Amino acid sequence: MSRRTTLTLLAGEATAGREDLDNDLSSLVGAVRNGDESTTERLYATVRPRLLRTALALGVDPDDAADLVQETLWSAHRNLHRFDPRQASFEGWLGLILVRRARNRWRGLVRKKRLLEKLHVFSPRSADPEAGAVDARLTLERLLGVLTRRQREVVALYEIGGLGAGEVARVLGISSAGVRSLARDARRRLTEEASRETREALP
Amino acid sequence: MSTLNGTGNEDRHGIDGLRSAIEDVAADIEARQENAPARGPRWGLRVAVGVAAVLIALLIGSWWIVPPRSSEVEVLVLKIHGRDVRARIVDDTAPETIIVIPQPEAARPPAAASIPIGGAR
Repeated sequence: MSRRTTLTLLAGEATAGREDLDNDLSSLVGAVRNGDESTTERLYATVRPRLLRTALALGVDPDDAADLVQETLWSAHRNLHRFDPRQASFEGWLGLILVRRARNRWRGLVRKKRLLEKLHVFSPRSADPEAGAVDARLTLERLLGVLTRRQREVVALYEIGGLGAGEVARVLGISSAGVRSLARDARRRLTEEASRETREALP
Repeated sequence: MSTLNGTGNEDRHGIDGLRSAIEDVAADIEARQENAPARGPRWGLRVAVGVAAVLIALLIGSWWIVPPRSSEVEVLVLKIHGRDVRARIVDDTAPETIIVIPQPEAARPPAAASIPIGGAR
């Protein structure tokens, strides 16, 4: 599965390709588990783009997102023997690791932020994004800002990650109906926020 | 518009905006990663250079900063033109060099200074 195919899936144009992707990943995972190290990088290169976008949808700081994805892949690689394809798809399993790590990071950031506020320390951002990406970052931050943490997780896994409602439900420990309900509410909130911005941008 | 988990056109405006923003930010991150020099070898090189620099600094420091230990021995008998002279020898920094320092004979009474060269006490 090439990166291009993965991105096409992200754009939502090939729902039928979802099964192909899952099958392709299953064979790659099987090869890696059987000791075929040459397919390791291919496996992770296949899932990395979608994982990065899922991390961004979870609200992870863009400066940290790539590191978080790398940590997730490393953790998955070390624990690959524990992955059970009967329980979840490989991407669902990765999504579970990613969400847990994002939650831990988020808790750590909250603690750090409180400490910095107590110490009156200003922590500048180290990133130097392209000018065009600055707008995108602001848009991303603003849109995610109207969602609850649970809604973000559903949007990240269900809308951006492309997992099925049942799989997202297993990852988050809620019902499939709950996933759909949260996704619906999140879409409505996002549309309201996007419409409000459009109205304010008009003269 | 159909999407992976889409439900139709209603309420798609916001999620499409989010998706677009994510795509732009992700593309920027990926572009910066691709433009960045390879991490592994560069890190290895940095570590190797760092270790080498530290070793060189230690070597130079030990040579220039830490003074070599000088050994001092007492000269029991030193005769200059047949005269006994109290002195000490300092085996100092330069290799194959010793410095002989005659010692003042403070305890000796002035009369002792009149001993003729080559003469006996």
